[in-house]
Amino acid sequence: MKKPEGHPDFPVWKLERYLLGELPAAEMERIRALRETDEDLAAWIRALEAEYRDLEEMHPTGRVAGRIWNRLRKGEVDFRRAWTAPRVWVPAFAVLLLAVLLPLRFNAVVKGIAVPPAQPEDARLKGLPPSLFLYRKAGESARSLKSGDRVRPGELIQMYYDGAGRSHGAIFSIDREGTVTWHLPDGGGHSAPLAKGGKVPLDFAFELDSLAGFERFFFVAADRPFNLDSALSEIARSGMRAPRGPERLRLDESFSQNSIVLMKDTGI
Amino acid sequence: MEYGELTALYERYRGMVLRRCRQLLREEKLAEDAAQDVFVRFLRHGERLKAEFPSSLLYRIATNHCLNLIRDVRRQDPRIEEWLRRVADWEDPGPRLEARSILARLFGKHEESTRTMAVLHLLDGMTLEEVARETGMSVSGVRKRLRGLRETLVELEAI
Repeated sequence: MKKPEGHPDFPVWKLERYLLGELPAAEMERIRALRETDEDLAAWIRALEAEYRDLEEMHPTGRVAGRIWNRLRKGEVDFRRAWTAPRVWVPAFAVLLLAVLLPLRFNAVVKGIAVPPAQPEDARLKGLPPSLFLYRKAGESARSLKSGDRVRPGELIQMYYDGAGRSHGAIFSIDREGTVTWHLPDGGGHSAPLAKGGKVPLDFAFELDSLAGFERFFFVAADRPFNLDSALSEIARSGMRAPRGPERLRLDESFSQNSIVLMKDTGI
Repeated sequence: MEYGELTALYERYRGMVLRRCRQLLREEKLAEDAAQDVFVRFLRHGERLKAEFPSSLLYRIATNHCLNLIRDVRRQDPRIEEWLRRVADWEDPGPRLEARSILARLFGKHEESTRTMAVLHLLDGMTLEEVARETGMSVSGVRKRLRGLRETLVELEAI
């Protein structure tokens, strides 16, 4: 295929703007008319359209837009950095270390940090669904949160998941305004391979913002890689009219999903 | 801005922005990261709210950003050599140059906007009027900046 480098009379940048409809009217009309008769021009435009289709495939909206969104929303602050700060990192390391070393059939408590128990492997094999777990970090302790619990701005939420044998998953949250924040993978839109072996912590905590209302966390899992473009577009289209947000995404039965909603106070 | 607006914006301009970043950077991963930077910058840019054609501002931000990346890593890119050759040729088909070695020095001596103007005019084939419209400057202002850029290049070649 011909690479669009430029028609003799119309450089590529101008053809791109023609495709976007962002040229002055007279110029739009000129290209539109010439396209009918000038086969060379028509070929350049077709080549450019084909290149755009390739780019769409390589850079799908859900994955990339999620990353851009997170960067805008976070103000470029990477919460993993906060997680690596000593005051947070030390208890986090303790949690992880103990989660590995201690028997996992009971709640281990160290410095007040409750380590979530892993599901026994045989239980998972019997068909327990993938699950999401949220913990509120407060000082050196972490408390389990359940759906409907109230939270405040600035609180750190640590997420764990149990994929229950599913190979791929995604975790994200949506607030009252329909803002999507990706947690797994960091960038979002598509799924990430899930770690096996019971409850797995994400490697960073999520700091709640000051928007009152709710933050609903979703964990979607499947036995194959997937992306959530269409499901999220639908959420964006339908808005967030429900007072606690949408409880489920419209996904087919091959997906497992669960969600936890946290009710956000303004903190005032 | 809501997430839905962002996805609509990204879908509309993805091709143009990514293509521009690939064209200048010639490396897929670098271009992908740069394109995301461009969208973030655009969305934080106050000017976007009054832009009649967002494509124009996005294209300028993408060009500027990629040139900065090129400067930072001093990429040895045949495209840039070609661009420098055209700077040297501009209005005076004369001396040839060893482009790579003087790229960073050339970049260091001129404003970002001048480099962007040069790329728009000499690499993209925009007329001086189109560059002026694109960058919000007068045609004579653009011409003066490009002359200054060329003079610097000739001086650097002589060193």
